[in-house]
Amino acid sequence: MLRSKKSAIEVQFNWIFVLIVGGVLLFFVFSVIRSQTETAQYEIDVTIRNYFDTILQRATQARGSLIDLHLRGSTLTSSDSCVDTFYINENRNLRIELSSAFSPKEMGSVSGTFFVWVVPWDLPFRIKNFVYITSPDIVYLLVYEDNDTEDYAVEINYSRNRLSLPRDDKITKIVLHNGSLQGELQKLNHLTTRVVFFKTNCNGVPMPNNANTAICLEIDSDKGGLDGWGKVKYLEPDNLNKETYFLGRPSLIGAIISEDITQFDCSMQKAYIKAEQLFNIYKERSSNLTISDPTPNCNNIHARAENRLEDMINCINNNDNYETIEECLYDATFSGAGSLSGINQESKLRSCVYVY
Amino acid sequence: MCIKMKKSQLKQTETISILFIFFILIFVVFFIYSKNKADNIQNEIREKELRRAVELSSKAHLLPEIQCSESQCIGCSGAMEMLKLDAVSNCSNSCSELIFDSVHYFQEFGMGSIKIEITYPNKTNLPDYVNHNWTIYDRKPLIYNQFIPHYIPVNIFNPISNDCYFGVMEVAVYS
Repeated sequence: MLRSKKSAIEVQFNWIFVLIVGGVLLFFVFSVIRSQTETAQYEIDVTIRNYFDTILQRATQARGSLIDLHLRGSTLTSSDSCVDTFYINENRNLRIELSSAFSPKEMGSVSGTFFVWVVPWDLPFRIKNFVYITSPDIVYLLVYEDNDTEDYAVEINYSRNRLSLPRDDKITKIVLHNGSLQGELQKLNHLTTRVVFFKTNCNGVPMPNNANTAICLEIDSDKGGLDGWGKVKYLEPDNLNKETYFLGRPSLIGAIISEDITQFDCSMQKAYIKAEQLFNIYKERSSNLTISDPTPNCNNIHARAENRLEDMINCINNNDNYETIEECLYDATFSGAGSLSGINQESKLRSCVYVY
Repeated sequence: MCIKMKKSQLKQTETISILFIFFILIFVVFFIYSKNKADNIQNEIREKELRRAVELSSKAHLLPEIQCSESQCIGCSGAMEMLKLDAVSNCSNSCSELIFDSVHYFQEFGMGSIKIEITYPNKTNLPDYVNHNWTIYDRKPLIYNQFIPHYIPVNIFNPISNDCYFGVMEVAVYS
C-alpha cells in the first residue's frame, strides 16, 4: 500500500513540474522575440532616418535642389512651429531634421511623396538656404484682382527665368481671378486648399469660406515688387488676422508655404540672426580692405561699404528710422547707387577688391 | 521497496540535470549573441562618428561665411576667401573674437573643431600680410574618449593679389 501511494505522488509531481517549466520557457522565448522585434523596428527607423539625413544634408547646402521624398508613411507632421523636426506618421523615431524649413504644420500625401526644394536667400550676398516642404495633395490658389496683381500671380505660379513655385507636376497650383474663387473652392471642397491673395492693399480681406488656410500678400512696385519687401497677412476666421513682412522673393515664397505666422516669423528670425553674423564678417573684411587694398582710390569704396554694413547691422538691432527691419534692409542693400549692391558694382568697375 | 524509491529519485535527478544543462546552453547562446550585438553596435557608433565628421566637413566647406562669392574667385573653384577667414577667426571690432563661438554654430557643429592651413606655397613664400592658418571653430569638451580628425583639400583665394593657394581643412569630432 505504501508503494502505490509513493508512485501516485511521483506521477502528479512530474506533470506539474513540466507545466511550470514549460510555461517559464515559453514566456522567456516570447519576451525575447518581442524585444528583438522592437529593437529591429527601431534599427530600421534609425537607418531610414540616417538615410534621409545624408540626402537632405547635402541637398540643403546646394542651391536650387529639388527632391521628391518618398516616405513609407502618409503624413508628415512638424513638431512645433519653431523646431525644425518633422515626424513621419507621428513616429518619434522616424524623423527628418531640416533647418529653417517653411512648411504646413501637418501634411498628408496619398502617394507618400513629399516635395522639398532649396532656394538661396541673398541680401545681396548669400545668407542661407531656405528649405520648403510641401505635399502635392495641397492645392495652392493664387488669386489676383487686376492686371498688375495678375502679373505677380502668374510670375509666382511659374517663371522660366526668375524664382517661382515649382512646376505643376510637383505642386498643384491654380491662378484665378478673385471673382472665380468661391466657385473653385466649392469644387475643391474635398481637398486641402491654401488661398494666396495678391493685392496692393490687404485691409479688409476676409478669410474665404471653404478654404483651409489663406494669406494676403501686399505687393508694391515702389517697394521692389516681388523681389522687394511687403506685408503678409495670415487670414483667420473672425478677422483675427496677423501681420508680418517678407523680404525678397524666397521669403515671399516662404510665406506662401508656411503654415502660420509663428512658423514664418521663427524661420525669418533665424535668418536675420545669420544675416547679422555675415554682415559682421563682411564689415570686418571691408575694414581690413580700407588699409590693405593696393588698388588706388579703393579706400573710399571699402569705407562706404563698411558704413553700409554697419547700417544693415543696425537695421536688425534697432531700425529707428524705418517702419520695419525689411524696409531698412531693402534700402541699405538694394535701393539705389549708395546701397551695398551699388557700391559692389562700383568696386568691379574700378578694379577694386569686390565688396562681396 | 528500496529499489522503487531509488528509481523515482533517479528519474527526478535526471530531469533536473537535463533542464539545468538546457538552461546553461540557452544562456551561453544568449551571451554570444549579446556580445556579437554589442560589437556590431560599437562598429555602428564608430561609423556614425566618421559619418558625422564627413558631414561636418561638408557643411563647413560650404559655409557662406568663408566661401568665395560667386563672381569673385575666378580660376580658383570652390575656394574659401582669405579675408573672410581672417574676419571669422580674428574679429577685432564689435564682434566676438571667434564669430563661430556662438550657440547657433554649436547647434550646427557640436563638439568639434575646424582648422584651415595653407600648405602650398609654403609659409616663407607667402606675402607678410597673409596668415597661413586659421581656427574658425573650436569647442572641446573637458573629457572625451575619441578625437576623430578628417582632412579635406581646399583652395584658398587671396582677393588682394588674386592668387589661389592650396590648403587643408581639418575637421575634428570629439566623442
